[in-house]
Amino acid sequence: MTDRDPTDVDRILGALRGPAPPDAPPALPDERPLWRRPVLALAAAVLLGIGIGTLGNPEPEPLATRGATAAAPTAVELRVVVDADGTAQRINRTTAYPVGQLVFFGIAAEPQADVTLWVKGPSGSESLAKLATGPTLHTLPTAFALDQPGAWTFHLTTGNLGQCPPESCDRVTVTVR
Amino acid sequence: MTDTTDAAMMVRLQDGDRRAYEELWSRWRHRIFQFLLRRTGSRQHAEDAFQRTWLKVYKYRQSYDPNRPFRSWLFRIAANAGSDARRADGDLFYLPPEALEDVRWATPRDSFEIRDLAAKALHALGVSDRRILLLTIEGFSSPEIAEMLDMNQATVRVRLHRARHTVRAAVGGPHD
Repeated sequence: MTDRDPTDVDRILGALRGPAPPDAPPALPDERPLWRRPVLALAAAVLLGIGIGTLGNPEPEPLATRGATAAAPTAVELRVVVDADGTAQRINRTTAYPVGQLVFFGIAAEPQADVTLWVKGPSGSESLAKLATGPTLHTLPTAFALDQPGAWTFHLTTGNLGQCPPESCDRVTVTVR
Repeated sequence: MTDTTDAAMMVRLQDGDRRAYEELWSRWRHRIFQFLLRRTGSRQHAEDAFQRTWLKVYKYRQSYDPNRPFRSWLFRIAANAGSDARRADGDLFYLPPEALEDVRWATPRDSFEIRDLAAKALHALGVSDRRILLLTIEGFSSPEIAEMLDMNQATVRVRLHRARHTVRAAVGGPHD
């Protein structure tokens, strides 16, 4: 028995011709930097307005201080949430989320500091935002689409892209199936 | 000189060049769409699978290894994208009469009748048998198909033999 059978069946089926394919390739997802996504920004702002404010305890949580206090490091906090039927829900670290899942961010720093939000995903690392923030939880008016399977680790740090010093960095990992 | 192989285009796509995506789409769209028409048995299902295939090419572009054949990677996606129709469209295909030259028939038939019988028999095959047969027609070997469909080679060969025999019997051609 051989793989090739050019005498009849393969030839007939290979000769069957149908209609032509579509004229244009499918529209690709928008992968511009986060700050260029106004529609997502609006959606995120609405979601976070109703969501993150209701997360967890009604009283503001004290920020955890990492590392030696003698050096007065900046304590940072990162919350990553998803939209669950109109309510912001914190990432469940044991759950695998679907490709395309949108995530939203709440950030805080004490004392006020310039922070960088960056992500290390299946395709590499990317800076998502760089801004000043203070002790009050600040909701970022934007969202991020997890567009590939794998582990996505979001970092909030007083450092730069790729840095996560233990005394002033918070991280959250999201698994996408 | 610019490297314009499929693998080189994929590397450019991995680096963010969307024009490389359009070039690959342009190169392969006819062949992939005809494969999907035969696989799904329906224009609507084929168009859906076609869209899914190309979106997956983009979405999973980073998983492509440039040292391996792009063709196998692409057809593996196409073989598994979307669903097949429950019933094949009767007039979906055209069978050029010259395709039947030199074929000796146990029962004489014209090209329209053979087209209908072949398309119907193809769609009556099990999903795996049909995909194996169609990938073989696209020029893939049994070891390649075994890897693409996560099967062992012996299973691929047995299913290929069974699929050919079934279609051959349906169109009235000579048997093994």
